[in-house]
Amino acid sequence: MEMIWEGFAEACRIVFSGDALVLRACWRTLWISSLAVAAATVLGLPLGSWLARTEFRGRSIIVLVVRAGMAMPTVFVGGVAYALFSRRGPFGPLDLLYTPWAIIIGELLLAVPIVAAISQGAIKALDPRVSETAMTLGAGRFRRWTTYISEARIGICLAVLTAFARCLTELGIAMMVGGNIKGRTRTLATATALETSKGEFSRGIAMGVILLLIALSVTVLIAWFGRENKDA
Amino acid sequence: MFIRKYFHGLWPCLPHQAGLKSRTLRRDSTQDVLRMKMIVSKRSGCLRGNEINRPAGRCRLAHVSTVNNPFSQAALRLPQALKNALPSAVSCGTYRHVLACLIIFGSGFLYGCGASDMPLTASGGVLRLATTTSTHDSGLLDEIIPEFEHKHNVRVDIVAAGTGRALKLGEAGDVDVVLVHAREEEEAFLASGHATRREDVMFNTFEILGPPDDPAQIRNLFAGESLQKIARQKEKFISRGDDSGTHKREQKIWQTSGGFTLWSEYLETGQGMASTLMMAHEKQAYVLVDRGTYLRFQRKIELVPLAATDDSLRNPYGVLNVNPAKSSAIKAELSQKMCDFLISPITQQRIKQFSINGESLFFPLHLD
Repeated sequence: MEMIWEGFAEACRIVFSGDALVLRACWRTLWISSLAVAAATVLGLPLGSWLARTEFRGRSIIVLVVRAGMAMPTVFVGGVAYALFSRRGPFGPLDLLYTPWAIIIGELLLAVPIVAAISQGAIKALDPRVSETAMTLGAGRFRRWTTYISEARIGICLAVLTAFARCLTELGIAMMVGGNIKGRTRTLATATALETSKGEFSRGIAMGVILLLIALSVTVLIAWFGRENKDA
Repeated sequence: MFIRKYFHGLWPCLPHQAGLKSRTLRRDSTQDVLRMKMIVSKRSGCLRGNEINRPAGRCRLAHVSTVNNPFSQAALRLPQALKNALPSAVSCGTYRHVLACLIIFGSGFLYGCGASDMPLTASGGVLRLATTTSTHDSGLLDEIIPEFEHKHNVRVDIVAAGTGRALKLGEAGDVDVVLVHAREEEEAFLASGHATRREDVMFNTFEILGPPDDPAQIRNLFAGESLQKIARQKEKFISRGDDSGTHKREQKIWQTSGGFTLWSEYLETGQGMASTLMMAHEKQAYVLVDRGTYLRFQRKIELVPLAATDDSLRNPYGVLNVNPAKSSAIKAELSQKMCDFLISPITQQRIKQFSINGESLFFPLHLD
């Protein structure tokens, strides 16, 4: 128990004293996961709404695959990304291994199924009359699509948030293709793992607390986007 | 009533009333559009019969800019969204939902209770041994520990961690025996009363590996000199940076050979030996590695041992038995037996015989 309180104290100390190394790791974690989630949203949202709104043979199989993809183990994704970016891999010459870009690409693979599956669920759950009404009112294809998105925005925010949570605390990929290099690819999650493996448990807890604080502020931000429109 | 709720705010906007610009809408699904038209016409009579019978793809509809306002509340059903995000087999009915959850969690629970990959009955209890990842990864313990388990009818749980963490685990009384390779820390650990006994067990060696073309020209130099030369020429060097025994050794070599100054190609990974070695291989960098890990990875990497082995690269292992006064859970007698076992002639002989790819790895210290 003592260790946990020490961890909180340490977290406060790090935040207020502005421990440069930790704060830079925070910032790095934040931009890596934001970029990965933004890219995943750009890819996953159209995929999700396409799966929710069109009927074709094999659709349900794709949906199942995407949903199962939400449980993709990060170490598996890390391994695949590693094989791709390794010196002997197909993208070896790009020299992306052990850079933040490799982490972003790995996290993107992780986040796309999450965004796609949850937004598919959210859009599918819309009353079919939303689409019908939009159509009576003369909305075109794109306009109808934006209508679904706006109607299902709470579900979609949840999708983005889930993906973000997964990326923010992501360890396997960041370790394997990021390499946890001090000052370059060390994220908060890998730093937490490192502190714990060093036996600095309270510092590990402190990092965890900081990670939670970041998660909290991002949740608040996303909840603000998804808030119900009181005027309507 | 649903319809009224939905279309409530919509009536003023319908084409013939609002006189808005009409346009042709492309298809969604024929039936959908027809159904919708009938709903609308039944309610308001605003569409004429001949329009209902028109092909759906070309019916005339109004374009209104505020499409999304009137029906926003009805669509925002979060639980529904969540429910649909679950696999459909689970969400198709409340009972089935509950049943599926029960099956999933129940089977997990049963599996957790019943399954154990240890064939032993372990009536003698469990002994926890903390050791370094490099020792655990070498496979030596898998070779010698089962004998101890059978002899004393006990299960040995091995916790693999860096030296720093292994010692911390001992300090907290969470393990019974600690087998590490950091002599000074071990002696400090003993001196501060965290352990009651310390024995030298064996030693292995470290190697400084580098790319075969050896850009820093360190072949056959001694360890300290090699590292300093790598630093001077600003070549790539990968360090564990995790307070492990290997990392501590690296720091010690820096200190004794004239200090350390950071350069841009010096990378700290904060990871285990195997990952760090693979990173060095990927980056074609120099790296300090224990011999065991090197031998295991020999065939997977292009790096070769370069520096000459001197005393600063010798790596003695010690076993510590954690002070039983720390916790009533510590098995004092068994941990004593473990120490005796590790330094017994039979085990020492086995340590000597243990080899990887035909090369021996550990050199016993109690076998004269």
